[in-house]
Amino acid sequence: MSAAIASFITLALAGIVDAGYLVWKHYSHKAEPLVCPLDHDCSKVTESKWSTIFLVRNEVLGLLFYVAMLVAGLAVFFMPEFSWLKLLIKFAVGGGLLFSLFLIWVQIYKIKDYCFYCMISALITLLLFVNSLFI
Amino acid sequence: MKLKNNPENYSKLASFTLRVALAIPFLYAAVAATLQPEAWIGFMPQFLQNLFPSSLLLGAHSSLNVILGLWLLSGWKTKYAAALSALTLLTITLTNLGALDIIFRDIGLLLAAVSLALLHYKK
Repeated sequence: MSAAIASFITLALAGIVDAGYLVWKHYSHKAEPLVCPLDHDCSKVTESKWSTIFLVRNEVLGLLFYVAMLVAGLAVFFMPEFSWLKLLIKFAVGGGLLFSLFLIWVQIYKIKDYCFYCMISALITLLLFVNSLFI
Repeated sequence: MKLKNNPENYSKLASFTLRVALAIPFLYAAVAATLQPEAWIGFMPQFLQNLFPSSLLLGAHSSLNVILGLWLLSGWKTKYAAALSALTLLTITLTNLGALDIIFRDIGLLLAAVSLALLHYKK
């Protein structure tokens, strides 16, 4: 089980880096515009009207989600007696995955454009969900 | 995505994929060694185990791995990050040749790090 928790925590860290980069790019006035590894205009997605859902920017929600998953992963490792935590993680990551699928749908059918970092985040959430089944 | 519009995008995507491919194992090793030190201390060279306490060795190992993982993901001065990663992986491989059944994938990672360094050699 510890290998599954280690990979879960690693994925949460990767998610923090990805979402943290987007948050830093948006809020830092010194930062240069968002650079996509594929020379793609990510800002068309990240600055669209869909960038704020539930009154909070999506990248902030993502960052909070990944931080929560990191804390939850550590909690499961250090407090294995709380088995309800494992169930909570499965539900939380399942919710995150549904939200990611919704955002992919928005990119395809509403914005008709893609953000590389958002797709990476969705992939990390999918991997987190699969990983959570083994915790 | 505009992959087909610019051939250089393939090289950028290859660099990104290689950086992630190297960073994830480094971060995983750091997390796993911190959570389960008894399973990882055996990979430390014996002469280092004789010189330093295991907690210090594994702490340094995890710290180096986290730094390398985040550095690779950042994309900042990638050729130096890749070169240091290659050096780290070479050290791991050479000091654990007796456990080739376990570390054989590190040889692949080592060559991936060399490839990444070469990809960014003139940038």
